[in-house]
Amino acid sequence: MDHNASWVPGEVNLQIPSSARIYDYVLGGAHNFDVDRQAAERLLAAVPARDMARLNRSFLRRAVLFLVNAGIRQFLDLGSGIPTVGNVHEVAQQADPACRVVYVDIEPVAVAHSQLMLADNNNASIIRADLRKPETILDHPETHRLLDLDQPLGLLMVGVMQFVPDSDDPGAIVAGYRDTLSAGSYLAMSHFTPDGMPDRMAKAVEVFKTTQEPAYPRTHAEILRMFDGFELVEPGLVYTAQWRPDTPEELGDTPAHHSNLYAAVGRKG
Amino acid sequence: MPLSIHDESRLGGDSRVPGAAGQAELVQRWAKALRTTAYVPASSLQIQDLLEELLGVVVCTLRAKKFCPDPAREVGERLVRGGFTGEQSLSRTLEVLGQALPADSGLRGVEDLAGRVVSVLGAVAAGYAAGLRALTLDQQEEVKQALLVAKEDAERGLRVSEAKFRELFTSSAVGIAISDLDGRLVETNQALREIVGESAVETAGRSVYELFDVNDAAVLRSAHRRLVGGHSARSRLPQRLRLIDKDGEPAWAYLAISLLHDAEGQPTQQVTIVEDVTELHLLGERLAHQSLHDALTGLPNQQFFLSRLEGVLGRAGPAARISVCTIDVDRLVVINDAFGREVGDQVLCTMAERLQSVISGANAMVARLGSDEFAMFVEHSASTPDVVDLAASMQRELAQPLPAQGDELVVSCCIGIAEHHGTGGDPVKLLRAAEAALHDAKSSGPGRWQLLDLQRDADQRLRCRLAAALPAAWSSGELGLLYQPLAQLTEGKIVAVEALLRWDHPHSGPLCHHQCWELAARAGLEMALGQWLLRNACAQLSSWRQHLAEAMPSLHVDVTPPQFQHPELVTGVRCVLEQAGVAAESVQIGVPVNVLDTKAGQAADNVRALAKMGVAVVLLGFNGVGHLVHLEQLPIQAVEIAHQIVQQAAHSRDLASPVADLLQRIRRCGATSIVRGIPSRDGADWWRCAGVDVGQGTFCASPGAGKQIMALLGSP
Repeated sequence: MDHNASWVPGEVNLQIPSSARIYDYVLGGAHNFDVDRQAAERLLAAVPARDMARLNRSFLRRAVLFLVNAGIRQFLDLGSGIPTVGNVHEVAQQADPACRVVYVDIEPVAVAHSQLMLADNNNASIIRADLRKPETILDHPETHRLLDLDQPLGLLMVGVMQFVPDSDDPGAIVAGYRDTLSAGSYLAMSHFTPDGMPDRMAKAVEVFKTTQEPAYPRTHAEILRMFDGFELVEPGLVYTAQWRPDTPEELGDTPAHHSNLYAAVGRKG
Repeated sequence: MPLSIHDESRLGGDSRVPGAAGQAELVQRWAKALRTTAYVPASSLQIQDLLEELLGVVVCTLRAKKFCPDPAREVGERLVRGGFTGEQSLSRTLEVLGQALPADSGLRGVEDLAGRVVSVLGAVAAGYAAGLRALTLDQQEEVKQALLVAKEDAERGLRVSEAKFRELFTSSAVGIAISDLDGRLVETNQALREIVGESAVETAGRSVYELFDVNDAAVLRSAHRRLVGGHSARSRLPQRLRLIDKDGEPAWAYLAISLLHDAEGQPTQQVTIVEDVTELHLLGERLAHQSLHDALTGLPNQQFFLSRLEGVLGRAGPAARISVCTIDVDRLVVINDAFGREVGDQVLCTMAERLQSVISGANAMVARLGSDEFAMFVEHSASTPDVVDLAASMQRELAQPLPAQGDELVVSCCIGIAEHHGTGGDPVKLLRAAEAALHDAKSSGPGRWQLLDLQRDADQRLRCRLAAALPAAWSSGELGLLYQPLAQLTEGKIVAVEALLRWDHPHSGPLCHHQCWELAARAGLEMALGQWLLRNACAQLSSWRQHLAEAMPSLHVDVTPPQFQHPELVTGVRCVLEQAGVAAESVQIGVPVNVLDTKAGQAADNVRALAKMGVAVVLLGFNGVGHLVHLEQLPIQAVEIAHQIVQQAAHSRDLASPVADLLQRIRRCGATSIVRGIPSRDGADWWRCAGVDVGQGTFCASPGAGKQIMALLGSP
């Protein structure tokens, strides 16, 4: 345990941009501060961040609906961020009000925000935890209150694993959750990749270095490895826009690789 | 009243119908234009439904009989609420509608359509702006609320963590001291105060380092310094350090130290966490004590004794004198058998106490080596008694009666003492020497003490080494023969020549006949070496014969007790004589008479067989009338007078008469008498007068090589 964690809170930090609030801003939200908006503008100069955010958010919605159609009624959303529009519980509960959702984030403002928003929702909750420690999440009382780990659930890691460095072994973290999930559970994940526009993504990485969460985009093969133990549903690991679009025009005029995130849904057999 | 107008438009249903196909196409275009401007959490169909409805509002507003653009504000507000809040969401809306509406077929005939479209789109934009402003304010309010909650959470977390720390600090069983960076105590908890005492921490300005032993305080100080200078926030000290407890005794503790930082991350205070392990330390000491001490008496054991002795010897200067004693309780087994082991143990404990009282005040140590054996070393100084007094006082002390089951028990001890002078002593050798002395003392009976003659001990060890080296020396030719004449005391005529062993040892110098035989006995080589001696002597005899013919005297060879009793003695002698071509009559063999005294059988047979063969048998060590019986029973040619008698006679001329008497009786039995080791002419004369026939010694000739003897024999 480092010193700060035990003696000083120091967790609410408005001096350093937060990726959650940058995401909110590029999605058109106002849950952000000047420092976040400045970072977002630098990011927009490097990559088509609005497209990336929009397509990623859109993938989340389609993935949740896919899982509801597959019979999933409980969701664990890791790295849920600022609750903007089209949150998992809204999407899922619109399809079936009995759906239960546990959100997890580490950023205290995002967590507080979610608490305010979910105050009246008995079927959704947020816990503040580090997704790198599966046991603290899976053993959390709120998790046990809302989720039945003996039943299949939808594990969502949408646009979050790129903030876990290799030194923390993201593959092992995913495997840690996978081993606890019951058979028939699904993992929906999207992840930054440098494959589409390497140079511009490298600039984005530099921008993220100035935020609370440095980013580590990964290649198609590296992200695919994180799905070890899951059977990918069609169409496999593709750009977010290419994952089961509602209409052929989902992308509009934007080339697929502008999404800069790969996405897939896999089922644990 | 936007709602009533909206309702009106619904009620006047035919207003939409004529342009329905065109409007559906417009909704498609509008949806496509908006699609990439923002994320909207809805399906394409849901979006189209929304846009269709909004378009209906726009159309109704345009077609109203009494035109007012305000109802169109709702369109902008609902776009914002629907999530179309992207940067380009509004501009694309205005662009699509601005192009399509003036040309829309369903709106044909509307008065001043172009002017109305501009006004309506203005209302849409105004509604959008208002909606976005409200949304932004709402969201900013939300995020501020969230921030407030997060800060409250964090502060509550801090309060909880402070409360937790306070609780931990107060109730912890480990001692905690908080000091400033110079070590001045800021706060201590109850557990620490219980270790070091209230007074140690109460004084203002006391330093944390003052709570520790001076040397250990330095260790702690440098650990603190490393922490402040380094990057880590905490560290555990690997070694145990000593605090001074409230009674001034050392209290052993393991320490963990850490730093407290201010808001800027600068270290401000040191936390020293003290885990009192004194009891563990004492347990460790006790275990260490047990491994070094005897459980019964509590005395050091042999390992401890030797290591302490090694230390004393290592420090010893040239003038140092160190005695090592080993003390053995006599007949402890008898005490155990008679009174039980408990009494035996009690005796040992009493002995242990008494031995310690003897050395009290001296630089000394008593240890228990084994069941009934103790050891002690004393480093002598001007004030300590010398060895003799020490042994006497030990025995005096140990001999005090001690109570045992109502009786009084007197226990005696044997003591062996070895002394070391000067530098460079070896503790193990010194203890072994004391044990050798104890062995000597015990062999003389209970209650004895013996000071080891270190010279003798050295000789003993040398002899062992030589005996071990003898077989190799023999085969490599280091062993040889010397010869010494035996002469008639009356005429001086040489009647025999004795063959003697000699070992020219490369380092220890020449070893004489007796030394060689002693070594041969230790090495188990007596029979083989005896044969070899006889064979070589016979060869020498043959050689002399060739030169001296008839003048040649007999060859004399002694046998050892084992040889004398050996059944193969006679066969061996016969075999050697035949091989050498020497007549048995020219050989005389000396046999130790004491063998005949104790184990007569085989030895007596050997005497008879040798005599029958023609060999002259000489009894060696004849020491009185008691041995005359052998002369009467066995064919003995001569006797050698025992060395003791010869010695005594040399010191006391008064013995002349009994010696003469003995000699006369020997002669009466038909045997010749021989005295060996006569040093001078005078001595030879005395023995001649006393009646001895033959003498050997330097009065006549010293032992010499074959050639020297031949020269002697050849001279007239």
